[in-house]
Amino acid sequence: MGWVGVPDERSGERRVVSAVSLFDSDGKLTDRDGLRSVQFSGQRRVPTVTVDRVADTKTVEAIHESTGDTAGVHVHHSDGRIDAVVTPPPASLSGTAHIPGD
Amino acid sequence: MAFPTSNWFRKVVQDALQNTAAVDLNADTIKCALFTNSITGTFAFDTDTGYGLAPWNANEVTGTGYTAGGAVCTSPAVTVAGGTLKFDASDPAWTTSTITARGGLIYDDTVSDYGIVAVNFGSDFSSVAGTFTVQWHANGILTIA
Repeated sequence: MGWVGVPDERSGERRVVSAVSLFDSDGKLTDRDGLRSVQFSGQRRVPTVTVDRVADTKTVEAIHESTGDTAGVHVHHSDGRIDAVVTPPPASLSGTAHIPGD
Repeated sequence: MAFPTSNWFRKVVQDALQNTAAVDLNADTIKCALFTNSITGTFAFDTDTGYGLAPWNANEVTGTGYTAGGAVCTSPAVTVAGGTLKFDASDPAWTTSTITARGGLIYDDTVSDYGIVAVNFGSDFSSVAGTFTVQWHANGILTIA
């Protein structure tokens, strides 16, 4: 999700402006300052990493690219082997045929 | 194109309700075939039959430890409780495999390879000389509430 933050003329605080076009119909940039002000409200999701020193493994979380939820893990072994464990949510049969989490 | 959003196949339900497919999800051999994110084509879940027919006839995973057609999900079971119908089965696994997959097609290997549900994993998963496991949710593979 992106938004254009334009400084308020009086307070100087940035405010959210919607329906602003930064490009003309040919795709040429028309508002360079506006483009610089684009910010993203989302936060980067860092995968969880756990190390098991007894088993000598490192488990790295795989993040679902659409939802940001956990999609499963990759388990790295010291000998180079990698296990993959996928943990999909159940498919939900509904009138809209939408499956939560995907 | 890429692996589609998780979805269920209406065709198998339609054919079962019209008595043109003798599908028995309690007794049939249910398989999970893995596909890469390179899968292309039109995904028509209203009319697509399932495994082996376009678009589910290409871009299946290849690699060490994987056999075309996928792995059997043993102990399939349809249960109903608390107003929810649940279809579940054992977790398929490919041991000593070196493969990459983006999603799985769960289908009825006994009756016309009917597709039941396509599950997008949400990310590419890769095993290297290890075990690739699809661990179904405690609420099953498919629920109808």
